Amino acid sequence: MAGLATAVLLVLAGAALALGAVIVLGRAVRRTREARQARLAAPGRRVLLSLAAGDDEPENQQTLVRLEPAAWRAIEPTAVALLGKVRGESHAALVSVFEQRGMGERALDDVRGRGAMRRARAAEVLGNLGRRDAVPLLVSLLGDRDPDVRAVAARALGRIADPAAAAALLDSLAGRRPIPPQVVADAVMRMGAGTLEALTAALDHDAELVRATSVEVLGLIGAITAAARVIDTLDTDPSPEVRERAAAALGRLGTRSALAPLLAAVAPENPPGLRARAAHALGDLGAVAAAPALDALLADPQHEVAHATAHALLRLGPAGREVLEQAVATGPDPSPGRHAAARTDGLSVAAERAARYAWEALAVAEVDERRRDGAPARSEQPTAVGR
Amino acid sequence: MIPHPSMSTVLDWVREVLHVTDTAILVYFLFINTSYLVLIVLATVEFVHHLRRVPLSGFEETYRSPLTQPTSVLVPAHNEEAGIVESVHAMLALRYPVFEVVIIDDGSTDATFDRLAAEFDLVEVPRVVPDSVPTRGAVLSVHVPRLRPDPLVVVRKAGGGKTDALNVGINVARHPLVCMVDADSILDPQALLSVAKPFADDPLRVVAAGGVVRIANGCTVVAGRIVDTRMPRTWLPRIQVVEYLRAFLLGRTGWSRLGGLLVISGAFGIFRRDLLVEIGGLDHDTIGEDAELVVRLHRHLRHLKRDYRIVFVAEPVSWSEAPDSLAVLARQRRRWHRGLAEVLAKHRAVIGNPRYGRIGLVALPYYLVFEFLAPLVELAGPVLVPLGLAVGAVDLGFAWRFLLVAYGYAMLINLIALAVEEYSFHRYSRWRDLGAAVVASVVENLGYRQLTAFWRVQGTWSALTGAKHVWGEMTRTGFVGRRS
Repeated sequence: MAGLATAVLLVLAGAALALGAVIVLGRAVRRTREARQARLAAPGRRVLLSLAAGDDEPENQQTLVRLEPAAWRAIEPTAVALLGKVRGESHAALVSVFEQRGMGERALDDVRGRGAMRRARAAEVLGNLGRRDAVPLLVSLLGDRDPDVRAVAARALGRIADPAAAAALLDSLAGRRPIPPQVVADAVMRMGAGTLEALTAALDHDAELVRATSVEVLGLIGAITAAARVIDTLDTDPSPEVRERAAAALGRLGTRSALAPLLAAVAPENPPGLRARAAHALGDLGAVAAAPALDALLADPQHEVAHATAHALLRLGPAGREVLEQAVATGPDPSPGRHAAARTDGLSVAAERAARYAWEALAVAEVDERRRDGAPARSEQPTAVGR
Repeated sequence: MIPHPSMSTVLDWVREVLHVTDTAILVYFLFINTSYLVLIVLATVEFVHHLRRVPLSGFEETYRSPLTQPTSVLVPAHNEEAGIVESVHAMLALRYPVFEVVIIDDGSTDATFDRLAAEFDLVEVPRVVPDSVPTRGAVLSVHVPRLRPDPLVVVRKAGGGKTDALNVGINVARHPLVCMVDADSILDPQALLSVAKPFADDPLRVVAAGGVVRIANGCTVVAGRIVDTRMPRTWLPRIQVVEYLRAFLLGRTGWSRLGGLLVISGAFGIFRRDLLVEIGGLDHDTIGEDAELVVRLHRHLRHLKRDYRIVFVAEPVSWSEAPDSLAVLARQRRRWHRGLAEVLAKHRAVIGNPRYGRIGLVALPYYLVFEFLAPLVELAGPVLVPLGLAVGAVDLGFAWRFLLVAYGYAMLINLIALAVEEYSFHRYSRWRDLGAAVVASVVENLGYRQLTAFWRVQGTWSALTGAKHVWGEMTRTGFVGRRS
């Protein structure tokens, strides 16, 4: 027994010592490696940064092209990152360095390789190089089994900005190997107007997420020619989430044709989330004709609807302001500390509700104006104009 | 002297019982330490995977994207005049596209509000606050900066405790994501981006994310940011650093990987606002309101059979000041354990219930046996084993084994946790700090553990008896009449 206990004690002590050694050695190894990398990287880094800053001495390019493999490896991550950030002549110069070093060709090979990290890094390089010939390969990577590889491939396609990849990107939102919708949306947005066809086609996709993302992107890129299709989606899509995003998109597109559908969307039979978004979108449109409809919504029992309405009215110019001031004037005094005599009929409750939301909106507007002008306040507390 | 016959049978019986219990205690320690080892291995796998991919994770893109979901940062504050201004400045400087910082002044009796009002030139606005979740303390006023365009909102309310303050914050919050932070937490600039990223990566499933909390004692803080990470100067916080590494950083990462994360620290957690409203916000009658919220969220979503994920983000990080005195540490540990007891009692229907999947079958039972009951066993060990030795129920060999399994193994686990931290994050760059950490790993088992076990048992006792608790003068009732 004692022998066993001693043996276990020795094992534990040995393990503890081994761990201690691992910690200490690990740190020492890491530090030496970092120091070595820094040493190797130093000369190349300087040249790299000056090249990226626009210093187009031809020697800079040549220096980088002729760097030893170890030295290049030390600065490669920085170089790839810079490649993705810089524009114009600096970008062209860097691309030239990469291509002369054969990085582009190597990336085309690595993209098919084993090892997810290798594929991901290669995809990133191809994207930053802007190699249009790599688009089919990258599109196939959208179905890679590693989620990080898929995301990097999507981003790379966004950088290359070839609209031909848009349909595949939108498709990759659904299915067993999905890509985060934000990544896809950002990539498609970078591709510009050539994606219009793919986006409008995706409005009929089976998957809710695809429709939702497509309609949102249409709004964000300002695709006015697609307004009719977006209106269709607002009116007829089975998913409330998609309809909400369609409403938001119409607000961004700002076409006159959006007024009627949005006014229909704020009607009480719709879900509150949609009504609030539609109210907000009416504010984006800035159409004065919406003011009476919004007036009716100020007293809505749903907080998000009333709130969105009040703030939308602020953006309808003087007509909207008029509505808000009316609501404050005709309702019971909503200021804190003053309690109006409570009547129990619905009219007073509604008027009080409308007055509160209107008062908040007007106060917020006053704060915003003051901040813009940088002027000191006229009074201590924000009050409704005209009181 | 010939012992009386019945005396000898009593002694035999005692010997028998002690032998059984001592063996049971040994097995218990073996299990609990091995479970830590398993969690650490899982966490290590997660870190290795995560760290290799950090360069590819696209934080820049998330920062610049118009689709990144706006977030409301909720900061409940009660008598925080000392650091509130610096804290708010630091939070306003967080790196995130669209967010608001909501400070909820929960009936402070000091200059908390006055300092904020002076610094930011606050002006009252008649903001309409909905009753999305039930609250107790009335909202007195809402303020924003007069001229500065900072997204800051300061809410004054009647005192009602931290939970009520957070619930009011949920009501005031404008954005779809809500991040709960302590007023004295120090956040890394990228913290909000990191903890919100899971929502961007998997928007259909992720409902909540917790961030790791590290110990700020000894670190250099400039303008509300940690600029130099050092181990604390005194031993009590040093031991807590090791404890936090093992239990929070590694333990929670491990649980997150298993899909059984039960606790998101109130000092740093982010949730979908609509779900918080769906489940009625935080529970006023529980001390462990952060853990209770997560368990209730799990329960709600499993009930509805929704596909969801609650994740733990290991880096970057939120920093808190750890107790530096035994008295304060004792209060903290009593409170934590009492909170655990209340959560387990409230949700006892979930324990062992296959309807709740991993939460019911693995996570909650584990917490019951290896977290809640642990202090009892920890205190029983050093008492019953020597007793057993004295009456001959166990021999010296057993005693040795017990020491090794209970404490030697535990020290080893701590060292492993240190090694993993060193490999993955290496935040403590000085050799001296590393040395202090190693010593703390050993010392934790020589008295600190036993002390915290004692306090935790006290926490259980106060949960059973329903003693009064103080955070903003809230009174708790005991187990009687509690809904499950």
